[in-house]
Amino acid sequence: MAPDARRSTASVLDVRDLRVTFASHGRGADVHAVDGVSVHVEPGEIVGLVGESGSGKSTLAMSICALGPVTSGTIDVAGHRLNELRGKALRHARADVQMVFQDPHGSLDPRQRIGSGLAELRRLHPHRPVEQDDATVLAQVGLAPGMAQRLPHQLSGGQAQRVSLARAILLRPELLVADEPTSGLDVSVQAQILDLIRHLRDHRRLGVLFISHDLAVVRELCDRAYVMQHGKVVEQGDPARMFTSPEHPYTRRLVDAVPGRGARLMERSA
Amino acid sequence: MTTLRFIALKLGGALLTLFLAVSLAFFISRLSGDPTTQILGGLATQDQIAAKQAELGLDRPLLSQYWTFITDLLQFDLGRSLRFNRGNWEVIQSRIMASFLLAGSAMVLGVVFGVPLGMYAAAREGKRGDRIASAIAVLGQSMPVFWLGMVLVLVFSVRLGWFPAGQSGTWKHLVLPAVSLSTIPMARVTRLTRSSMSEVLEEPYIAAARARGLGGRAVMFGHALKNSALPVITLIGLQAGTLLSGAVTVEAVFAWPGLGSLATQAVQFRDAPLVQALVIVGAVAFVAINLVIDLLYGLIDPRIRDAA
Repeated sequence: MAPDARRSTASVLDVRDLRVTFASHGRGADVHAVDGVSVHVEPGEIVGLVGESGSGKSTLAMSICALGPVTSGTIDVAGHRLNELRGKALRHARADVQMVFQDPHGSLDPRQRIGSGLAELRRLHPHRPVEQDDATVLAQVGLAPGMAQRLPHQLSGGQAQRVSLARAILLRPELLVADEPTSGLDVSVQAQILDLIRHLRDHRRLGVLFISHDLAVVRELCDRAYVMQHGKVVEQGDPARMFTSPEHPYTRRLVDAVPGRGARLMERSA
Repeated sequence: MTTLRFIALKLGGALLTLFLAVSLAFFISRLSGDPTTQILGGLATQDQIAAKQAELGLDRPLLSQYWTFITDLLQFDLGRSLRFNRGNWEVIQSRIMASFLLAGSAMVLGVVFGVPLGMYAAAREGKRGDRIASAIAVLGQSMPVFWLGMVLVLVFSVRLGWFPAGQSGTWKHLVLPAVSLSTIPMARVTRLTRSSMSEVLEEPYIAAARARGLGGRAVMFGHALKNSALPVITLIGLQAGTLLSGAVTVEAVFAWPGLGSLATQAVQFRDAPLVQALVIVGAVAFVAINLVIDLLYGLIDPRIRDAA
């Protein structure tokens, strides 16, 4: 079966031949951060995106969230050609693709109470069938209703990441882009966040693009995965297969770089 | 409880600063020499000088003079002016409102133009709009205020006749000095707003806000402005003190009857008690404004309050 056989018009994310080039303005060669990448995510699917830092995975994520430039190619999110939308149309379409960042506190305005952030979202998208009740949204990510009164600095890392998830799902998006959402968290909290993402996939048919350098997490969580190197997808498929018998030498190197599970546990308890 | 503690800490710090500033004013004015010869003239006899010194208390030991000075001060007695032969506070009182008016207007102008200009520059970082805004700021900062004042007088008073060239009284008298003086805070506020805001615009929560569908203006005013306000507010506090006591040249150009021109007169006539009183009043204003700013911090940024 060809890797792209499942691609369909119903994809929540369909990126085709995307290129992001940063001009060097005469200082050496231009940088091809993303160099002809095609990826897709179906409803109710968690898709991993793996690669070392500098592989272009975060640049790709930024472009998908319409936060970064696109040199050529197309990005379709839930039927919108996102990279061609501007102004008001783009702001409306953004509700379909929500993002959770790496730094749990970084994505929260330090002077905005959690409840006020949720209210702001409803104000922004008045015509969208959003979740109306703060308590319900917070409960879905495992937070008490009282959290709405808090300021970001009064939250733990795990709580802050749950708030980011709550904000993301409030708009009932089609696609969630999670850029290393657990790498700033303790191991036990990591597992809770991953469970939460799994739960959202199962109960809301949310499509998730899960960006990580942690192969073990990707293997455990993702239905499919892409491996990126130097701005290109070098291997894709079933993560269990890919990470036990990698085809591409780069994937092999990534797998070999991960210490054994036992060694990792020892390392963490030390 | 934490709020009370926060206020108490800030208040204590302010009082200590004030005490040190006031003491410094006292000892420095004693270093400037004996004012009695200035008062009595070169022909005074030794006896006359000694009598005057006794009258002013200058014959007593320094620490004893200092003690009198501090106890007087605690009773809000700022001493007598040698030149005006009136209480220092009375002399200062007649000038202080003019100074507040000028400094306040200049500060309001500086903020009203500086903050939007800085925001505009930050939003267009690296583009032409940014370069133009930054050029305006550099121009404002490097132009001598007294020179700008004279140019404004030439254009708007002499040539166009729109505004009077000096003195005070109506709002028209205020326009030219306030505009000249405002270039100092405007330039600094612009530059600091720009750098503070462009730093905040790099924060992930700004990208997160955009990703959620916030428009450019909503991001700038709803999230970026509040989070970049703190250094700008600090700067406003520091500038307020400078403007209040440092409007000397502008007041001279426009014959504005404020504390700056009073200080010039006091120095020219070697009126040491008046100079000392002016320094004390300046210090009180400076410390008071910064105390207010410090307390505002707690309101604006709850993290600071919680940390105290």
